[in-house]
Amino acid sequence: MRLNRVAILLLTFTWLFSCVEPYTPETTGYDEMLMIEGIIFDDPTMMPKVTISRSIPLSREGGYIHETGAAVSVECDDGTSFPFFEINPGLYVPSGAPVIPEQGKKYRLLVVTGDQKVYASAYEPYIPPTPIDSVTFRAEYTKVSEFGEWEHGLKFYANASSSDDKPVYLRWLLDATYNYSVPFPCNFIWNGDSVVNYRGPDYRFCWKSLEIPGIFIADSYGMEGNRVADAELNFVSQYGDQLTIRYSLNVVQLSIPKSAYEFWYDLKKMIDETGGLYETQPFRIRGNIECISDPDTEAGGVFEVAGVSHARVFADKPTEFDVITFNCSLVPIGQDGISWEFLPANIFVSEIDVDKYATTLQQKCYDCRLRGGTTIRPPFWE
Amino acid sequence: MKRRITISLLAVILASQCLAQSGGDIAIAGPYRDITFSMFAEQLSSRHNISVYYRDEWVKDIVVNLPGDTILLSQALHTILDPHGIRYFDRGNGQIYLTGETDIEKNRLAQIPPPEQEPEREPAADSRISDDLSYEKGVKRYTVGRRGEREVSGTAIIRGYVRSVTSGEPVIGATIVESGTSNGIITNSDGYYALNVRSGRDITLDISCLGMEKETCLVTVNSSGTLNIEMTEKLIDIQEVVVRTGRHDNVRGIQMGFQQLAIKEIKTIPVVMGERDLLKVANMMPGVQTVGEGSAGFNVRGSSSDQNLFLLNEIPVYNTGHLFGFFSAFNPDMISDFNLYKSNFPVEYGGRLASVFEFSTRKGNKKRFGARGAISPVTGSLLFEVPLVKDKASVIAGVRTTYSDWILNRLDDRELRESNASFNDLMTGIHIMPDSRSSLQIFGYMSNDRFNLAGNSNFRYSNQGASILYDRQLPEGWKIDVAAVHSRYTNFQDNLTYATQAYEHEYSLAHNEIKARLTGYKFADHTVVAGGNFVLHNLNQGRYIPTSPWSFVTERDFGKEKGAEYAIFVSDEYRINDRMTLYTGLRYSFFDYLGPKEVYSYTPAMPLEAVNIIDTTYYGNGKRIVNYNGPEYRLSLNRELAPDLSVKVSFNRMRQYLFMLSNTVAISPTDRWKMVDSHIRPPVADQVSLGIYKNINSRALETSAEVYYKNTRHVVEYKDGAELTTNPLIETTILQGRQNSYGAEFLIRRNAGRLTGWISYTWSRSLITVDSEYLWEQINRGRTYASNYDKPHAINLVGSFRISRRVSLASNLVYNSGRPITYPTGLFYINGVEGVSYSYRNEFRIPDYFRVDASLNIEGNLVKRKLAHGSWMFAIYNATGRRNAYSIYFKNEGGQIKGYKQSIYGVPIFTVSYNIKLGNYAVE
Repeated sequence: MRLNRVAILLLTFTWLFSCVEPYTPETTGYDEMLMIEGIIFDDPTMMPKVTISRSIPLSREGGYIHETGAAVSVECDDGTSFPFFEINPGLYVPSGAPVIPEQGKKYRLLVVTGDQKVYASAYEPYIPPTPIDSVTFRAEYTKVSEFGEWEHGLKFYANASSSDDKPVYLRWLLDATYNYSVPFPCNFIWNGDSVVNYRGPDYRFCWKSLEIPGIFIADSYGMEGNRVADAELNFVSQYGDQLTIRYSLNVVQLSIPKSAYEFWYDLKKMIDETGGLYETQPFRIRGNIECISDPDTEAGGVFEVAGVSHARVFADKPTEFDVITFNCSLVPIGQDGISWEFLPANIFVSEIDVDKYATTLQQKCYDCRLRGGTTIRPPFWE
Repeated sequence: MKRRITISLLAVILASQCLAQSGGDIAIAGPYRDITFSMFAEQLSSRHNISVYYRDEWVKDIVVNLPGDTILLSQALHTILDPHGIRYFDRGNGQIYLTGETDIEKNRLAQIPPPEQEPEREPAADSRISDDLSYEKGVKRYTVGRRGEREVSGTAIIRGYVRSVTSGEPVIGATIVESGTSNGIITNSDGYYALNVRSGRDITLDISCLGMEKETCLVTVNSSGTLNIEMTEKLIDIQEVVVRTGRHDNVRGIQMGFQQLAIKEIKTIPVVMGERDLLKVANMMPGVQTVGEGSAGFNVRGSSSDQNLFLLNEIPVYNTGHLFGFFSAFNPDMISDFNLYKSNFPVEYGGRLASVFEFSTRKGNKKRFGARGAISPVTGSLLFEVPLVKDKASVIAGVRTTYSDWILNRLDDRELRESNASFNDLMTGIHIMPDSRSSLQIFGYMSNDRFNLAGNSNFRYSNQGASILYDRQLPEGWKIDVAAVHSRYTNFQDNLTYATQAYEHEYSLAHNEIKARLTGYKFADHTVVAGGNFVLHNLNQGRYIPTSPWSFVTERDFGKEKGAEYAIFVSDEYRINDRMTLYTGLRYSFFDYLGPKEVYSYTPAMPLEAVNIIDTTYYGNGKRIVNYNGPEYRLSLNRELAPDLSVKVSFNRMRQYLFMLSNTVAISPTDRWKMVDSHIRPPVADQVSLGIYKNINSRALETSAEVYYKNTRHVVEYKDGAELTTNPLIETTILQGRQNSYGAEFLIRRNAGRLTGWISYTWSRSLITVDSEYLWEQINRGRTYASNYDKPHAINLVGSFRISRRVSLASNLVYNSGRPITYPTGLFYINGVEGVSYSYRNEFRIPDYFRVDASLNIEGNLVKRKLAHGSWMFAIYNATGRRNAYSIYFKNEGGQIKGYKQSIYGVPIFTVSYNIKLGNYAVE
């Protein structure tokens, strides 16, 4: 909440004296809680899935605990049932034909754990997808950490509107692909004995895809025309390869029931802003899933019946700010540089003069694949 | 040098001196070990400029042994002389006369002529013969009532005003005691008093007050009548280091759970940013806590901050903080003093459950022009007082403003550099005393705050208030007070960050009140109060309005509320005997929630949620929607076990019809007030308390211990994650429960000597239970949890050490338990990010709070005739630099949950401030 920022920072000159430091509270014990996340889509190309895990102590001791061996199914209020099976520890997918939600029907998630406890969500309606009006982006200068670091970058926003008169509750799943290059061509290679011409494939241009974690949600409650305007999506920093040539954001918009939306809303509030004296106090999160066999058993989680719409947007290298990427500088080899015998074999080198060579020990400056991408151009790339 | 006089000279002095052993409040520096009396006398002379007159033969066998480094002179003399049967008397002005075995007081009384022989001036109805027979400065002789008139009951009432001779301002809290008895009274906020005495005889009244020369009046009481007393402000001519604080007599007064502070008492206390602030000092009193430094609002005896009533000359102030609470909204130069009631509320106060903070402003100098100003790093202030008609009418105005932007402009943070914050306040008043029996005060108040964050969000709030207060003495020992009060609070916010989502919201609250109170002193040993008040509340919860043509925000109206709150009350303070006082009172309060309003009905046995609305009823303008009413009892008993020891017990019930919508830990300026309505019931609190009070060394050291238990029904709590800012259906966000608060408060306060101040320890708990047969009406699954402000242990030490008359050192030490907090107890992984699972509500605590402050105060020279007087304060706040936790929070960064601790004042803060006023050191 902005107010909190006003209060804590602006207000008062106390910024001069205030400080933020990392802090881990000593909490004795923790309540183990089953956390269930299930989703089904009206888009047959997307795989329904249910992940089940148990909460772990703040110390992260022992790592995440997957709940294995559970019996999972999605039930429709018309009596049909769609069983799931465990494909990976804690991850369950349909064992038969995937469930495709239909209008006018309601669905619930049913989980029976190994200890014979039964967890169920409420019956959730299917809400047809709300079209995406646009995905926009603009250059912004943003504080990126609690310690007051600021970065330039591109911020993405979603706009959507519904012709229906009921408020829409939206969540976005984001993944990005970006095109980037390395500064030096792969012309010569040091084979451990001599410099030879390189005749293999070119590694200067790559594409890299990644999923963008985070909770991106918005609703149209109280907005004219039942629309969602300027809903904040991700921020892409000026640092790194992402904005060096062209960046593409793929937006999967989920239209979800209010009860599921409230889970994400609460969770986002909890991890984005809670704790200030002018913010809503944190609380135990629940969601739309409960343990129906034992009301005293703590459970949390969300089951979403999602109507899906897609959009993809491309952003070229911004001109409003500098994009700062990996620093590549050549070091001469030979008498006034690194001695040849210290160089490992099969590294790329550059010819900087007649019979004079230089290289970067970081081969990321010759081979873009070493930065995580692939040289295969994605089919959707424009 | 030894001074001797003959006994005959002593007799001459005796004849002109009427006051015996009145001094004794001079503190002397010790210790003295195994010295002769004459050496002791010499040291008194050289160190304290005190002359002792005696005969050698009386003291030749006396060996003086006085341990301790600060001793009251009277006590020292008694210790030394009593074993030898030697009497003395203190003539004042640093002159002590030993009188051998003669008791000077008896002698003096013997010399007073009987009343029949007095010359008598023919007075108007109630007569006061003034100054016609002054024996000496400081002792005045009066006759009250008509000669020959005698009260049938044998009891007469002396009443009148005590005023300052220099400024004409009422002297509040002056103690008037019938000498040699425990019969006494304290002047009220108008300087008014009424004292029952036996008629038809002579009495001596001792009038004393902080910062005033002690007055003694010889009064011949024929019948009931008026006696107005003027007191002289104390110019510290002699080397006297006694500061008498705590004008309320905590042993003798009926009040308990009561704190009183005068602005001059806090002058030397170190403060952050150089802002002298009564509220910050009040926070160091037992039973008063805040959720965090720099936040607005107080939690008194384990109650939420909207349960405090702040009255500024009877104007209720709905937001008492500037800059979100970093400073109080009351200009310290304008405030003369304040009283804080934590229990045993006088019957005329109601409408809040936990406390009454009663502020009185200066009424203005009626003798001469005055001005003062102050400069600190954050604010500047100016105050003027002008006599309009000498001794009759005065006007006063004080203004304060901030210039904090220069600090913001220097910050590294770009967003903050482009922000600005400002506040100001203005108080002005006219005080008129048309005659000796009545007084009229017209007072106005305004405070404004505004912030702009990076040019795209604005927050504003303001208080406005006005009051007209009139009081008049009626015949037959009655006094009437009437008041008309207006108060208005507004807040505003907008957010222009995204043009498509830009909105603004303004809220306003108006309070219009009339009240009348009749006080009767005519009944022997009874003081009777009766009266009533009527308040019309108009709340406009405001509308969300789109503020840019591109904004898609739809207009949302949160509606208006109208309510009438009224009460009648009666009380009796009965002095059963010299040692016992009983206060009984009944206040009966009513609240009507009025239309126009649409009221929703919800499906029974279902959660109050928008989806469960089954019906809407419309009520027309002024139509009563719901009425609440009930008695509020007040009962207290004071039993004096000894003149300096008493036990008190009290019970009271309070009702509250207005509450603040706030589900954040601290009060924020965007919080709105809301009335109880057909879905939300008024909270009711019952409190019992028991206290023991002991004074040592004639109030040089005051000690008290109080325990209390408070039970509040229908306390307002909020559902998990309740959204108050965007949801117009407030009843869907609220649950009501039960609150139990209890605790023990211990206070030792030193009022005399070079070292003054107090140390207090409070142990308290504040626990809330919201349970129901329905799951959705439970918080924490019905389990009891600590309130946000439950801090079991609190220690406060406030000390001031006077090095010389111009230089003093002061220090605070504050310790309290960390406030409760809901911590994460587990992590889970969802949608590619870490999420947190939180504990039950307020299951944990943030780290304990500890702070030490120090200040050095240097007054300008003490020349009596000077144009202006300045003083410097060098203060260091949080001297140890401890990073006290203001908040602890958890954020997801790069997919991982990280915990952070924020401190507001994480380093020692050094401030220099300068105060200036017209006149000399002693000008108030």
